[in-house]
Amino acid sequence: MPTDSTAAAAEWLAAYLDMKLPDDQLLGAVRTTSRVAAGMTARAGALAMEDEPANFTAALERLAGAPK
Amino acid sequence: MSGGIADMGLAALARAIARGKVSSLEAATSCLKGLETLGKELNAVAGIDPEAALKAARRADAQRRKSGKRGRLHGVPLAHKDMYYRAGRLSECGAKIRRGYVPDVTATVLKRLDAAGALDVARLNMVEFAMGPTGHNEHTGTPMNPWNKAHVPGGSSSGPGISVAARLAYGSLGSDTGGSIRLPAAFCGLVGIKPTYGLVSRYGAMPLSFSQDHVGPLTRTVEDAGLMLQAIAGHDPDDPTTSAREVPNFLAELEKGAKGRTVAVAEGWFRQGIDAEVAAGMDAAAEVYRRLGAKVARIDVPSLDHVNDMAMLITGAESASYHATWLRERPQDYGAQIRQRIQAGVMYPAARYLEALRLRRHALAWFLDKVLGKADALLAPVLAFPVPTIAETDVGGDHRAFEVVARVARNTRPVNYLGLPAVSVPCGFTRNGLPLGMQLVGRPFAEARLLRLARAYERETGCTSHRPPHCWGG
Repeated sequence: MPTDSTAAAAEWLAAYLDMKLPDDQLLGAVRTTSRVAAGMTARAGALAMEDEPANFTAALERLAGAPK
Repeated sequence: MSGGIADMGLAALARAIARGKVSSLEAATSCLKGLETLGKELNAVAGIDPEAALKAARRADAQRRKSGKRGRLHGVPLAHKDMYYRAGRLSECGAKIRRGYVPDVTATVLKRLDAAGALDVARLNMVEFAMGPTGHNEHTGTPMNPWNKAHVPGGSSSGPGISVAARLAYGSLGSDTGGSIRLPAAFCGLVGIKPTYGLVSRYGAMPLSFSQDHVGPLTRTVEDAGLMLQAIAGHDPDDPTTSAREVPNFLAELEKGAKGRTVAVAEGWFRQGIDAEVAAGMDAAAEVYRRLGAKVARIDVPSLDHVNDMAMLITGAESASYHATWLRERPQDYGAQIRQRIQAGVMYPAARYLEALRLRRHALAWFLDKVLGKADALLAPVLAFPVPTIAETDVGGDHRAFEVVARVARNTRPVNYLGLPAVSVPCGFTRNGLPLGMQLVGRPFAEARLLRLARAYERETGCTSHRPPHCWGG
């Protein structure tokens, strides 16, 4: 379920935790989601062939070393 | 005023114990008295077992006399954030929900400190479930900064920051998911290391956001920090995210200075909204490095707002998954702010969470190229404004909570998402008399280089020689 609106977020929270919150408490998460979504749209093509996130330690190891 | 044995640094005490100049029992007795009195006054202590601590100290002394030291931290009293599990001992994580919890495993980092000969003399207060950067805790009360009791000590490793600064312990393990080692280190005038993701095991540590949780030390000096890091670093089969790389000797190059190294002074995003006093402090630190022969360059750091958003989303989603059962069954047992933040995590879609994780490698490569491409370290403020008071940041669960959290952790959180090492070093004081902290952020697994740079600054300025007014042993 998308949570790009407070209405959808409220619905999801009610279904998952049986909990109700006012809009002002939902807004932070909704805005963060929207901003991340906007950033992802620009990078979507670049991500098509990427590894899964579990390889992050390996990525750090590969990128270790002195500056140029 | 000198505090005698309480005033010794961790490394100095370890050397003195090894040579038989002082005993572990003397050091442990000093810490226990301090923790029982000043530690409780500052609300830094979650629990102490004096009998067990004194017994361990006597055993350490007897062992040293009989067969020499067990390791480099032989007989040194440490105390840790109350989220490192030790089988059979309480671990309450600053949370009402965890009251009475006795784990059946021991954290790898505690086992390693045990193996190095250190004593574990107390459990220290922390923000509920390590989820907050100021130190506030609705259940245990908010601990006080030993530099001024009206000010926050920083969080979430509040007890460690207070206890090490106030000479109640010689070093402490904190944890850092968005700044929780570097913030209390900076607020309390200490050295704190958030190591590279994968350098130190998290097995047996309470999780908050397993993709961004880091374990590291808070200490009074750079050498102390290196010693503690040396004891805990390295691959752990129980934590599959740890690196199999050989652990370097973090102390080998400690005294080699800053000459020829490149320090990039963070401008751009790091200077947006920065307090003039803090900016001046960073410029003064840069000048010290220039004097020491380092190449100092100013770098226009691009916006890291998006990095912070992704870090927040990952923390929210992962903490919500860890807390979902308690959120359903015991929502009233959370502090209002913590519950509000964890609930927000429930609302992040799974696809967005995975996207934020997958973007990490790209963001890391981009940051290393754009920001750390030509530098050994980025010099940036830990906090963009002077250490605030408890009252100023006491917003509970109201609508300002997200704003306060985002503002305090703004400069530290991106480094957790990127997994890079960072050392927090004290660099003077602001007009309110509270310490000012800078962070040196480095390339992956470059802890030794960062410690060398931190030590060069420490040696030149004496930045770690100041004692707070509320201090044991004075």
